[in-house]
Amino acid sequence: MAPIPSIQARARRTDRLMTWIITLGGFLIIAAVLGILVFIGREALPLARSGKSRNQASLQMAPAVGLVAEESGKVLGVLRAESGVACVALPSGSPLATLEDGPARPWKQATEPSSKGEFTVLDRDGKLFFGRLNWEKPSGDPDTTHWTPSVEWSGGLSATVDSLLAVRALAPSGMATQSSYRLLAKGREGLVWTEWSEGTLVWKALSLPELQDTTQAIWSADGTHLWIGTRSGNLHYLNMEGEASLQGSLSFGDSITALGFVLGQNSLLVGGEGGKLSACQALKKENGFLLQWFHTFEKLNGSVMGFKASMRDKRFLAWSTSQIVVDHLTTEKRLFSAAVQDIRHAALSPRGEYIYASSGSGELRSWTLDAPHPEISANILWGKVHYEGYEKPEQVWQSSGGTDDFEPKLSLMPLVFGTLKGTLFAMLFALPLALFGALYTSQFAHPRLRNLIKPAVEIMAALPSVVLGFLAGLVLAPLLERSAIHVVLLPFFALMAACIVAPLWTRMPKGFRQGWGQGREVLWLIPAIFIGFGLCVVLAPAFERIFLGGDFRVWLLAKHSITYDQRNAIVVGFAMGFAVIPIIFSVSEDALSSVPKGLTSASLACGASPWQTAWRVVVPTASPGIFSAVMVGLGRAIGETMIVLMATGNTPLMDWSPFNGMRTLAANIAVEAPEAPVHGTLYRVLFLTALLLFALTFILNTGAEVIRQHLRKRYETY
Amino acid sequence: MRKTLAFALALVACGSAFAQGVVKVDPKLGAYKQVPGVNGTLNSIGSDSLNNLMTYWVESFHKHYPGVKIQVEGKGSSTAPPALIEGTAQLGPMSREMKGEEIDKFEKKYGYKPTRIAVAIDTLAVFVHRNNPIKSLSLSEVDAIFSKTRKSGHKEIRTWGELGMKGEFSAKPISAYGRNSASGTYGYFKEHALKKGDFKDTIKEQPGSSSVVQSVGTDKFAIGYSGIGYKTSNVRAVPLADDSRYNGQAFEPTYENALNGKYPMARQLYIYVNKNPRKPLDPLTQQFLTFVLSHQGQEIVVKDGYYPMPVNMQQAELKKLK
Repeated sequence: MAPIPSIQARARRTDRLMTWIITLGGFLIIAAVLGILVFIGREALPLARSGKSRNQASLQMAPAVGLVAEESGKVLGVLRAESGVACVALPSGSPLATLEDGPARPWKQATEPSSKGEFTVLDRDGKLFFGRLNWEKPSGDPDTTHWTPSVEWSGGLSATVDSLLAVRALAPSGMATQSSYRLLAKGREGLVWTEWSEGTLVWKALSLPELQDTTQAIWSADGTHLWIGTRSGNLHYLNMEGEASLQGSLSFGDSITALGFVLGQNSLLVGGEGGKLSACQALKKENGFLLQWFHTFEKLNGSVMGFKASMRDKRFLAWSTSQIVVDHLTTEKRLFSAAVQDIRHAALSPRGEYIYASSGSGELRSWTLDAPHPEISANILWGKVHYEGYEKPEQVWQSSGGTDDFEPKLSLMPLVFGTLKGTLFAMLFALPLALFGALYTSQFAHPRLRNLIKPAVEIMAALPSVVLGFLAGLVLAPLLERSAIHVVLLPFFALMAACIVAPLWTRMPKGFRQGWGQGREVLWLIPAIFIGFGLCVVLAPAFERIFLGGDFRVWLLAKHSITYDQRNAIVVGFAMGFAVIPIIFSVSEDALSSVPKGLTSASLACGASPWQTAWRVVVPTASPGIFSAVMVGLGRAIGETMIVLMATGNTPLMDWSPFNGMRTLAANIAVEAPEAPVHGTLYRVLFLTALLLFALTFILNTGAEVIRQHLRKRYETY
Repeated sequence: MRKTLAFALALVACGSAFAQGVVKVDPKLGAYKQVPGVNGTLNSIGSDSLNNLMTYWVESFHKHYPGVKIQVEGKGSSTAPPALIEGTAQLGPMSREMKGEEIDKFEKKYGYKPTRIAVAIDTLAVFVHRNNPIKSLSLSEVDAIFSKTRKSGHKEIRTWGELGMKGEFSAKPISAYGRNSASGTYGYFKEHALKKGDFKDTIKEQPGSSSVVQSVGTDKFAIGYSGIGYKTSNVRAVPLADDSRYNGQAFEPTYENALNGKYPMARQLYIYVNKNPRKPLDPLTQQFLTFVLSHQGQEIVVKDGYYPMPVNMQQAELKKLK
């Protein structure tokens, strides 16, 4: 074989090297994109994990009448009728201290301690004591042997009642320094109740006929209302301010055996004898209260005995004689379930991480629960959920509040809807302008005009979107609000003026048309548009006065019940148009110009008019390019963040009206990401929305590419 | 000409005599004493309501200690706890208290709870356009304007006419502006005015208090809420009434009404710091906070439009710094 000349060999080597580098570059890009996908997915995936629980060693102790869990899970307060309040260290079970002060033992009755460690005791002599267990921890010392438990006792009042049904401590209000209490008890002749802050107990009888077979009761958070459950399966809501009066009732269907509140004291949990578990709420309306059941949970085995609420989120502990569960109020999901024999009392630590159950034989079982994202389920993200304080199930995005008892509302539907709405209005405004502009520029315009228009439009693309958003929100929106009627009427007036001026062109002398035409005819439409504009400015106020009764905004609200918002979808459409038009224009103009001149010449030679040539020959041939231009523009519109952020009020509405705003996925991430607590639920939901945007854009682009290839094959020229 | 000038001067004199009593710092507050050996950098990340205040304090503090660099970032109170936990900030200004969840995360990392120092008093004001003649609003009306759950039991209010306004306001819809969810002002307003209800979806979220006030100032039929320090001449603060106290009488957001509890939405502004209970606070942070609580620091509070701490509250906060 003859030796290859060295120049060619070098060229061949360079070729191979560049091929290798470019291929490597391509693969690196694919790897980077996949890497982003993997990272986003990993941050969002833990949302789908359900709670993990671990069984801890069980201890044998004397039976208890109540348990108080401490937030670190290292100590447990155990109430016993004979020996008072004992504190044990966990998991060893070694006793730390036994507090024997306070009421005379053995106690006749101790109410179930609340999650804050408050309980009431009826002692041996029938005296009433209010107690609160807390631990003194010297400057954050983690060693439990240095902690001092103590019970603050108050009260010591003699009470001639058989048993206590419900006690509520109210924090001192106004100038008072003492807590006040509301009590409901069973006396000799029936139910009695009282309010107490100092002095002796004065009981008032509660003798409504519906309350004959009362089994359970609980006071509302402010002490003004009382919920009473009866054996016949009815739940009654009473107003206890002044005279007791019945405000409403609900039918539960099963004898009520337990009542308890979830964090926030708004949702009431009701448990029945057959293990039925539901939640209800009382909504304040102008003329009374609306009581409704709004959550149902999986049944328990055995009759429900009690509830404990977590102090951090909406999860709660419920136990029956043979089963102990932790459920979440909003999602109705079961986070934890265990079967235990003969449960008497149970407790949940304030952060919802430690679960304790004490049985009749004195066995103490404990578990740890790790459920960092209990408030998310597929239904929360995509479906309608009945939230606290709402009358019916809705899709809401309201992710945070300033207090722990806020129920996070993380539905993605308003955001997806907002994204589609923003994209729709942007495309509605941008597509006709860009496509027809590109068609005109490439097919009808004089080359000199074309060389002016194309760079000018491309410069539009250089405007940063923050500036566009800022101008749209602060300059365009108020302007549009003041002259909304002008904007609505301008297209009609301009069209009318153009329709009058355009036929005049054909009536001009030929010399004139040849001198000033030849691709520059469009410039003569500009005066027409100005005339239309002038007419609009003059006539629109009159139009508004005659047909709309004076004011466009008021007319919208009165006639169509549509509120006109200053920051609305029309403003977004204009501003996004600025961002999207240059892209669609450039790409489609290039596509239209690259149609072989032979085709257009042939078409014109066959006698077709320039319009017929453009519409029937050029556009179909360039359709793959136009299609990909539209897809690129669409991709840009979906992901556009800053314009939407500044030109709308970021209102998560699900409303197609062009006169109010929206909240898109991208703008939502921009607004909420800086403040989402790292690795919290909101943080992961934001990554989920990022994943959604990624997937959306990916599918859109892939689909567009597939269709483009198909169109190219179909309209390929030889 | 001379007559007009004399008249104008007389007006100005009368005007200043009738001017609302300027808020004065408690004279018992001690002046700030400089100490040697203070230098370094401090980062402050947190509340937007405190942003201007922090900037003024930093400027003034810089005059005492030219070698100190302090960076201030104010995107919303919810940005403060993550910054303190990660250690990216030493000062965490917040216009609401930390939630239990946030304290838990802090405690998980450091083993002790964060220290909260109150630095100023604020009356959260409901602003309307300066030409809006509304006399007062009750808290339940504010709830009905801003909330979709309306826990105070009032029926929904959509137009100014439903508040009893006549004339050109009567048919116009109320255009409401508020803060985004990172804001402590948002959280405080939700807790106290909406009684932990939810905001309507149509409340336009603005990224900062000054932008809320600006939006209200340019939109005649607008209403918004923000700290009193952001008041401008384009807006007026509406007197608020709490239906359950003082017979529903409305009170202006003044210093006296904040201290005696008549104005329903008076709150404290806080700075949270990471102070190990077994060790003293690092000298730069301690000096900054001492300066903030001193006479000069509280004068700056007045300058920014907020209200200064009375001496007994200031003493209690200074104790926390030891």
